[in-house]
Amino acid sequence: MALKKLKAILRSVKLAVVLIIILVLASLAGILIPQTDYQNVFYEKFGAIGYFLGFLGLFNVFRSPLFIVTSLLLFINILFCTISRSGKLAILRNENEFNGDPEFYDAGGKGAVVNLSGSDDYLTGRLIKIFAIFRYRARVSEYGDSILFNGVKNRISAFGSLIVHTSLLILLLGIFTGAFWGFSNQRFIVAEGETESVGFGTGVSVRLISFKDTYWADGTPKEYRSTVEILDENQIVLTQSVTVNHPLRYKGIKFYQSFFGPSAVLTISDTEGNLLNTKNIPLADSVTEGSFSRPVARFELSESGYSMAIISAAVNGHDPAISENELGVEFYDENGNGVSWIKLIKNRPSEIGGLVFTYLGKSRYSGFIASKKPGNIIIWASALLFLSGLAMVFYFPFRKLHAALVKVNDADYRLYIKLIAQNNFGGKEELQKIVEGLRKLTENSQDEY
Amino acid sequence: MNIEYIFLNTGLIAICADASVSVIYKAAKAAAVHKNDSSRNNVEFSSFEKITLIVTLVSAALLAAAIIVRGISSGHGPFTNMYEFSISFSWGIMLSGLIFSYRNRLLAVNISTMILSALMLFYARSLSSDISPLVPALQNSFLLSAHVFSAVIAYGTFAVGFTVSVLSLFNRGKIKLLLPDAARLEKIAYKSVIVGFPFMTLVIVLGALWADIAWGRFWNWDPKETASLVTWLIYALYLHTRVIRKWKGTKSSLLIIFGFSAVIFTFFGNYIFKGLHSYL
Repeated sequence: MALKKLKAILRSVKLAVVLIIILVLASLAGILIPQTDYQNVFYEKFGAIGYFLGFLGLFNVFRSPLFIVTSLLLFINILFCTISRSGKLAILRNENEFNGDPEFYDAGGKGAVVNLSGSDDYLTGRLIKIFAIFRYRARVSEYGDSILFNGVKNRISAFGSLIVHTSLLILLLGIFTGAFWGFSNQRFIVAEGETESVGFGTGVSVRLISFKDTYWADGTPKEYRSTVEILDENQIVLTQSVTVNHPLRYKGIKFYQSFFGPSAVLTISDTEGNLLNTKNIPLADSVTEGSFSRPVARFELSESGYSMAIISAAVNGHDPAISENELGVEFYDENGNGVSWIKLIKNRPSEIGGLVFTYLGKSRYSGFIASKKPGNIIIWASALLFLSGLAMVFYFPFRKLHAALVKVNDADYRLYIKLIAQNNFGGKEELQKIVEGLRKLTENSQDEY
Repeated sequence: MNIEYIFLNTGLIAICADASVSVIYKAAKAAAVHKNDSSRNNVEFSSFEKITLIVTLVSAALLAAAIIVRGISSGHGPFTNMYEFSISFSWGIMLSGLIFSYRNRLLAVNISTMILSALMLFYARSLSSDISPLVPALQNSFLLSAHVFSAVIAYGTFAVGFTVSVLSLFNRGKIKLLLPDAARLEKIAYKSVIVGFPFMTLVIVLGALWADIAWGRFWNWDPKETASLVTWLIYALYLHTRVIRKWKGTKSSLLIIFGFSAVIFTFFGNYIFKGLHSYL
């Protein structure tokens, strides 16, 4: 009993209405309230209200339990609704369903009755033609003295609503497929001359040959172009450019041009002058001190076990601490404790802890989005299905026609007619047009009889 | 003088004059009608009404010419900033109003959409009309044009639903005599949604496709994307409540008005919220 009630709720449109309203309100909150992972800023700014909003998950609405659970419930609702309404496809049967009772054609007051004159052969022929004008291929049968007509049109559109709702379930399948079997790295950064591995077990690496940004005369960006080599198991397989709107595709992996920034070129040698390493280090993060925002990079020094942060001159004003030809370097021990701070001056070697560092100058890095989304094709297919289903439901709706020509006397007949439309989409209007056509038949038939 | 401005301003003058004359004509006609006269529900246009429709058609043609001229001079579809989109939106409202008015034999639809269209044109004229070069993300002219054109059609038809829903809300008391029958208005509102909703779906689908190519993700919960989804959900709600729950009358009209509010919120969202769509 409880299970039956639960099923009834899960497939009800009322539930869909409630869930959609929740999603609308949550989405509005997501628009009006800044969405961020750095919620502490808002706790400090808004105080108790900030904590309350954070508790409700409103700073990250679209990943909040409320939003995810509501969305999943909606999909479950659609699933139950789709299954329960698929029984209505019995409407597709194009059979004579007349049971002898003229009330059959009343259709709750929506049927029509037209008086016609003529012989039965003449009227039958004319009716078939008129129904054909409205694209009903009428099947004719007899019931006692009456002649029955049954026709359907846009038969496939009976599946329209089913297709629309099933496509939403397919959309969910596509999303889950991408989440479980795909990957997406939103900050795949490669400095000029360097090679970075995509990871995720792909065996694919990317080497950035060059990055170039060009601008229109008014200073707005015109093009960001990265020229890259794709390596598969360390073999060069492809050399190509990547620009915005023209991602590079390789083995289902897509590389999108996303952003760019400064990098710093450093050499590391031993005290005897033997070059140990040359690195072009992307300064992809930033550190703010007062009003200055400085590009920074943090990396491990594999040779020495130390880690270091390198900091470039501020990008938003004249930096009094680090000039354009300098690079700030902070060193940390194995425990992350700061041990020293030095400034590297361009082309001047500096010895630190038995290693010699030389800053050669600035370069650039290119930021890509590297992703593999096996679910995307499912998502686009669901979109196509959804649109097709909508077109079927709204523009080519399924209709079923029942008519009975009943003899009144030798020359007079009464035509009972009704149209069945799924969810009554426009059936009444079409019936009116058919009746108008039939009434013209009555005027003509008097002349021809 | 710039030929684009000539077309635009001439179209604006024509639509303002047409709307003004139509309102005066309708008001005079309503004042002359006896309260039991059902002629307000006539299904054929008078000669004067036909002339007003022709003037609307001419205005729409002038606006279309302005859009085409701008497209030729800019080298891309004229949908890349608020000035261009406002003119296109206005054209969409005008054309949708004209078609729905003609097919349903109801001049009130054309009058109300003319007013809305004129307001949008006045807004467009307040903006800078400079042609800006395209930033990299907008350099996908086909998808850009298809995405925004779908929005023009969707928003235009939703505007029709909005105007007739507002009229149907006022359809009570003595004002009832001046307005078309509420049931007729409600039917037109429904028809506008069954045209607009698929196009709104197309807007979202094409936008997602474009986002996947330009930004690497087909959905980013960007404020404008989310606002479009909210709009879509409201109209989906309307369709379900009307078809399955048999909602009609005030409830349905309010839902459509709420839906169009979401359209306006989405349209002007660029000014309020920064995000990936901030191409101003």
